[in-house]
Amino acid sequence: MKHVVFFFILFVLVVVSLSILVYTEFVEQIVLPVPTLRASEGDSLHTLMKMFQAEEELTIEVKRGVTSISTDENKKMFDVIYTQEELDRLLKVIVNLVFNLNAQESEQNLLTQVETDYPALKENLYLVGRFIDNFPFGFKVNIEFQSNNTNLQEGDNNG
Amino acid sequence: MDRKFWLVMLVAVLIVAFVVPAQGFAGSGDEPDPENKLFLDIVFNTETGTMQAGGYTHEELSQLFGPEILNAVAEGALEFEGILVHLRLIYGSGAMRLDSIVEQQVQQLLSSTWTEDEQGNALDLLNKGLIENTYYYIPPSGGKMLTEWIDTSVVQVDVRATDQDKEVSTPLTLVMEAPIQFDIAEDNSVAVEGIDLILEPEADKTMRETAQIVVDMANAAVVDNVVAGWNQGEILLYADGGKLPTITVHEAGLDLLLSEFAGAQIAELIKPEILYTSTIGVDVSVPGGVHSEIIFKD
Repeated sequence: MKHVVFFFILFVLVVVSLSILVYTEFVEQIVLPVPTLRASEGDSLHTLMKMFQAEEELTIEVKRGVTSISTDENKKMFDVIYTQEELDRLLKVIVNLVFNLNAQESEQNLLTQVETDYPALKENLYLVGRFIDNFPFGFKVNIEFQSNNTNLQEGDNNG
Repeated sequence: MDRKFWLVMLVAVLIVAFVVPAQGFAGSGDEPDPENKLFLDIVFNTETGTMQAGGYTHEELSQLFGPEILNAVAEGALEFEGILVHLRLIYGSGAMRLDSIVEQQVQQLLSSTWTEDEQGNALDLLNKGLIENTYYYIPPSGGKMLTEWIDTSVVQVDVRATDQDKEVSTPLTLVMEAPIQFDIAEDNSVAVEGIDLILEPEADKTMRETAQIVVDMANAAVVDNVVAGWNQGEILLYADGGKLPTITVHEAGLDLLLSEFAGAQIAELIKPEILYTSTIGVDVSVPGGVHSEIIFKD
């Protein structure tokens, strides 16, 4: 009986280990399409590009615990590294900062704003934070500058 | 399986369960004091009569300190050209040493301790000069703080003379593991490391206005204490002692930050090679805030 239990535990351990190994390998092999957003002169994407002094291309790559920002010709600028706890804490600070500064500026709807928008936005932002942190494959977005209209299209499968 | 096998397993489990965490605990509970490190290399060129320091050329240093001061220093130092081959002054743990380095052979010239009394005397002399020539002076509490900083510091200054144009000074290294503490009071006055800042009226007004902006931002973010540090290419942030995401800054990112926040002239003078070996930070508390006691480590 003891031997049966021992071999059963061993079997479970082997299966679990193999599953983790296969899952990890599988996740690493997955290549997701990289969406390319087209930025046009003066729109919000172009403003974002200008914030990072990117002339032609801005790439944002989100993986578990790391968000990387690169500009033209894959020139890496920043890696933001975080745990879920750190991300939650940052979101809390940002939400407080944005809402309280906004509330100071527009006093007329202060009560309504705080009572209705604040909990919803806070919850949504936390949700985004958790999603980013738990998304196993990571994702990558390219923003390219072009002079005509903004549109969204699927890019190359080179993620 | 025999008893011996289980005994060995039990001992192994006990080692893993108790010894490994105990080592970790011992390490974290016995942390050494935070250290300050300053490595400065000064090179005088006997042919051109110019000087370099900490990775900065004569022209760059002239922009920082003014050409008159710099030329005077270079000329004065080159008077001692004969003995100025390569001198190295090292200070650490209350002891000072002066070495001469010839063809990579180190010869000790003199060594001495620098006691607290002697540090106090040096401070008095410095204060005398400051009071005579400026609006500022270092109060007794500031003197205590300075001696504490000195006690936990390692300083190495190399002074070299060369006739080679290609000889350049090593980039400056500045590491301050403990962030500099700033306290903003109710009346927006500012204390640095517990010492009230005494400034000229115009500068005091600007400082209080800036302090008010910081207080407003902190109140809006609902935090009382913020720590921001630069640690050899990483930006470390803490709010009320809780860690926020860490930002690793690559060279392109550093160029962006410098051009956006430091202005073109200052950006030109701040060298990436110095920043990537240096550590410095601030720990700012608004009224009601408590300092976080955070130490930046490599």
